Amino acid sequence: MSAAPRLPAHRDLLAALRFCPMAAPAGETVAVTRLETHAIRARTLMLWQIAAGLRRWTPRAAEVIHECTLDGVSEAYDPYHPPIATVMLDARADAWEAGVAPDPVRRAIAALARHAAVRWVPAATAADCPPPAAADDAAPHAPGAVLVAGELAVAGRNDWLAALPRLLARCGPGTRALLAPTGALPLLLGERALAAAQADALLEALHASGATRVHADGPETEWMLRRGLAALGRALPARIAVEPWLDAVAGQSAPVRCNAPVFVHDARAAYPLADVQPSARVVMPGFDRQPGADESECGDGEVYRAPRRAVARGGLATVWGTWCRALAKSSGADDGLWLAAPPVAAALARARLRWVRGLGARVLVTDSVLAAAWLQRHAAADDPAVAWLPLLLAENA
Amino acid sequence: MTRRHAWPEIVEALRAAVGEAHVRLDEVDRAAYAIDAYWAPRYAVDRDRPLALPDVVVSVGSVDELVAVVRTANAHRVPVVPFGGGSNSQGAVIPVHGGITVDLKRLDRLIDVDTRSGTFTAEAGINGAVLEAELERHGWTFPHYPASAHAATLGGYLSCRGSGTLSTKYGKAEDLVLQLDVVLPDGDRLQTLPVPSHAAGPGILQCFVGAEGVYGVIVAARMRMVPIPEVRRFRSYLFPDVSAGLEAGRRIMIDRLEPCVIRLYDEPSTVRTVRHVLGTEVAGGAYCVLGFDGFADLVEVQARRAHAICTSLGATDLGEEAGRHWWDHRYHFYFPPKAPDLPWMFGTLDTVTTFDRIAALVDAKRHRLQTEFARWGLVYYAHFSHWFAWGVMVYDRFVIEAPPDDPGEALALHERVWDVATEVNLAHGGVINEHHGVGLKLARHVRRQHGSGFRLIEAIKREIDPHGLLNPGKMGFGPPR
Repeated sequence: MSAAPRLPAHRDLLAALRFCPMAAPAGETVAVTRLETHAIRARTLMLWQIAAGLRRWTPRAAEVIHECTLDGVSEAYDPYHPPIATVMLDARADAWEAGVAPDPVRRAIAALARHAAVRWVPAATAADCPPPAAADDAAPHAPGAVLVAGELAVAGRNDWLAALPRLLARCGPGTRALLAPTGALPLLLGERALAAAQADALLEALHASGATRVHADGPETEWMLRRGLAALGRALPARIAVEPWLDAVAGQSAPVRCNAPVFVHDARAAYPLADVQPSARVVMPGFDRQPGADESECGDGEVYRAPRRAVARGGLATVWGTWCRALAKSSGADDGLWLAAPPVAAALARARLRWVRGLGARVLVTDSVLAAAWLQRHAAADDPAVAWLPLLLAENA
Repeated sequence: MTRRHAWPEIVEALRAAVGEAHVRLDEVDRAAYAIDAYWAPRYAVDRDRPLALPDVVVSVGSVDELVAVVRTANAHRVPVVPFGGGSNSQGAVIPVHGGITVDLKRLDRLIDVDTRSGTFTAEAGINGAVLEAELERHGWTFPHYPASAHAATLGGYLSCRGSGTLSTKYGKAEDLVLQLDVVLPDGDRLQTLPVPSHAAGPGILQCFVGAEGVYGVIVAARMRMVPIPEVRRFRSYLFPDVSAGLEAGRRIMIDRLEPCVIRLYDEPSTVRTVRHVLGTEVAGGAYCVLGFDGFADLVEVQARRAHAICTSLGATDLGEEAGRHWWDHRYHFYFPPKAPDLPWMFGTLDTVTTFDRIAALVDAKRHRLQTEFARWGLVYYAHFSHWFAWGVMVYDRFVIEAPPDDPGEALALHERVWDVATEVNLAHGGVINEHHGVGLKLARHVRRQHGSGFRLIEAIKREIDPHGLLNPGKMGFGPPR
C-alpha cells in the first residue's frame, strides 16, 4: 500500500523558499557541480510545483533530489533555519513511492535489503582493558553498555571491524558492540519500509540485550537513534540512554604521537543533533576568519564538542575554517549520497580535502565512520591524511 | 525547443565543446534557469503560466569552452544568455528568446591575489561570499558587500553595475574594476587596458560594465581590494525629518569625511525600523545609521565631526548598539520570511540624482505613485543608502499587497507602476536605475534614457553582434536577427 505524499505538508515552506537564491554558497552539491538545478532555490521551486500539483515526479526530478544531500548546510546557513533537510527527506520518500527513484538508489536499497542482520561483538575482558592513563581521566564506563555499530556495519571497512575489539577494550570491560544496519540508509534514500524493518531488528536486539546505555559509533548512527527512529514512529526503550562514546575512548588514551595540525570534520548528521544553530555573522563579509576566531559561532552542542574534546585529550593541535560544525560542507558520505550519486559524492570528498589542505591541516580527523572511509578512499597523495578519530586515539597512542 | 534551429547538430557540438555531463536538455534543468529575482517570472511561476525556457543549458569550465559555445551559437544563429548567480531583480537572465543559457559558475577560480597592488584577479563565476571568505583569509576584503553577496557572482556584480552597503566609501562595482577579460559575441577574446585610468582614448572597460552580457561575456576581472579595516564603527541617530537627514548626509559627503555607511530612512521606514531594531515606538522622524571604518584614530575623528553635523541639525544620538545590530543582520531581510514575496506585487525603484534635486524627486515619485495607484493601496517607502560627493541614491520600494487576481491585469499594473516611476525619475534628473540594472524590466526605457546616445549603444551592438545573439531582448535591443 502506498503512503500518502509527504510534500504537500511542506507547501507553505516551499512557497517561501522557491525564489530565494541566498543560501547559494552553502549549497552542498551545487558547490561542486555548479549546476543551478542543484541549488536550493531550484529544488524547492520544483518541489513546490510537485506539492501544488503543477508538476509530476519524473525520473530526472527524482535524480536531482538524489544528486544532492539533504542540504542541512543550507538550512544552517539561512538565518531563519527552515527545515530544508526534513523537506528533502520527505521528497525522497515521495519519489520512492512514486516509483521514480534513480537506478543507483534502487540498487543500493536492494543491497541493503540483503545486508546481514544483527551480529554481536563480545565485550573485552578486564585483562584486555588498558589501565586509566591518569587519575583525572574520564572514568571508564560501567559494564553493560552497547556500542551500536551501525556505520561500521555498512561502511565496508573490514580492517576497522577487525579493530573493533580493541576499541571496545578502551571503553572498559563489559562494553559489547551490536553490529547492525540501523535503517538510517534506507530512510535517507526514501525507502521507509526497509528502514522500519532494519530499525525493528535493531530495537529487538537491544531489547533482548537488557542494555541500559548505548553508544553510537558515529553521528549517523546517533542521528538514527535520536531522530531517525522517531521519524519512523519508533523509539528506543525508555530505559536506554544514549551516551557519548568518544569520551570513553579518549579517556583511556595517552597523547597521540602526531605533531601535524589537524582539522576536525563534522558529518552532516551532527547538525540535527546540535543544541545551538550557527550565527549568520559567520558567513557575512567582515567576520573575523583569522586563527583563534570563535568556532562556536558555527554551531554548538555536545555533538561538536565531544570530538574536539577527544582531540584535545589526545594532545592534537587543531586548525579551523568557516565551514565547520553546523556549516561543515559534506564529505560526500552524508545522507546516503555516496550510494545514490557516487560521482557527485566523490567530487564533494575531493573538494572537502582540497579545502582542508588549503587551511594548512595535515590531518583530517572525524568521528564519522562513513566520512572517514569515504574521504580516505578519495584522498590524493598531497591531501591531508584522513583518520577515523576513535581509531586514531586508540591505536596511535 | 525552437524548431527552426538544427538542435541535434547544435547539441552535438555543445557536447563536444564542454562534455556531455555539462549539457542539459531536461525540462527540470532548463526550468531552473528560467527565473531570477524579478517579480514577473516569479508571478508567472506562482500562477502556473508558461515561462521562457532556454532550449539547452551549458555549464562551461574554461574560457576555451565558452568560446566554442559562442562560436557554435554564431554558426547556428542561436541566442546565448549568460547566467551567474541568478539573483538579478530585473530579469537580466530570462531567456526570452530561448537558445543556450551558459552557466558561468564553473569559472570560479581566484586566479591571483596581489597584496602589493591591492588587487585580485578572479574568474567571473566565483560566488561573492566564497570570494570574500578567501580574501579575508589573506587579511583583505573586497569592499563590495551587496545584499546579494550570498547569491551573486563577480561577473554579475560587474554586468549590472552593482552596489554594496559600503559603496559610499569604496565605490560601486564599476569603480572597483581595473581590467576585464571578455569573450565577444563572435567568440574572439578582448582584454581591456591593464589599468582603468589612462589617456589612451575612450574607456572600453566601461562598455562591458553594466552591459548585462549584450556586448560580450565577462570571464575574468582584476579588481581592487583593501586591507580588512582595523575598526568598523556604527552609530545611529534620529533626525526630526528626512530633510534634516539629507542635509546631514550632504555635509558629511561634501566635507569628505569618508563614511562607509550612511543609511537614512524616510518616515514610514523609520517607524517600522525603529520598532524592529530598538523595540520602541516613534511617531516619525528619520532614522539614520552612520558607519566609519579604517584606523581607529582616524575613525574617531571622522565620527566626531559627523556627530557634530548630525546634532547641529537636531538629530538625537541613539548610540552604537542599533547600528551594530543593523550591520550584523543586514542580510536577514533577503531571506524568507522577511523578504517581500508573493502574493504581493513589489519592486525596488532605485535611482540617483544630485543633492539639489533628490528631495523633489522623491516627493514627486511618492505623490505620483500613491495617487495614481491609490485604488490598489500602493505603499511607497524609501531609504538613502549610497552616497556620492555630489548626490545620493534613493532606494525606494513599492508594495501592493492585494494586486488584481487576473494575471493579465496584474502584469499590466506592474508595468504601469514602472512606467510612472521611470517617468518621474527622468523628469527630475534621475536615471532609470542606480544599481540593479536594466534587464527585461527596464529595457523599454533605455532608448529614452540615453536619447541620442542610444545610437552609439546600438551601433556598437550592431557591429560586434550583428545577429543580436547575446542576451537578446535586453538593454533595449530586440530579438535575434
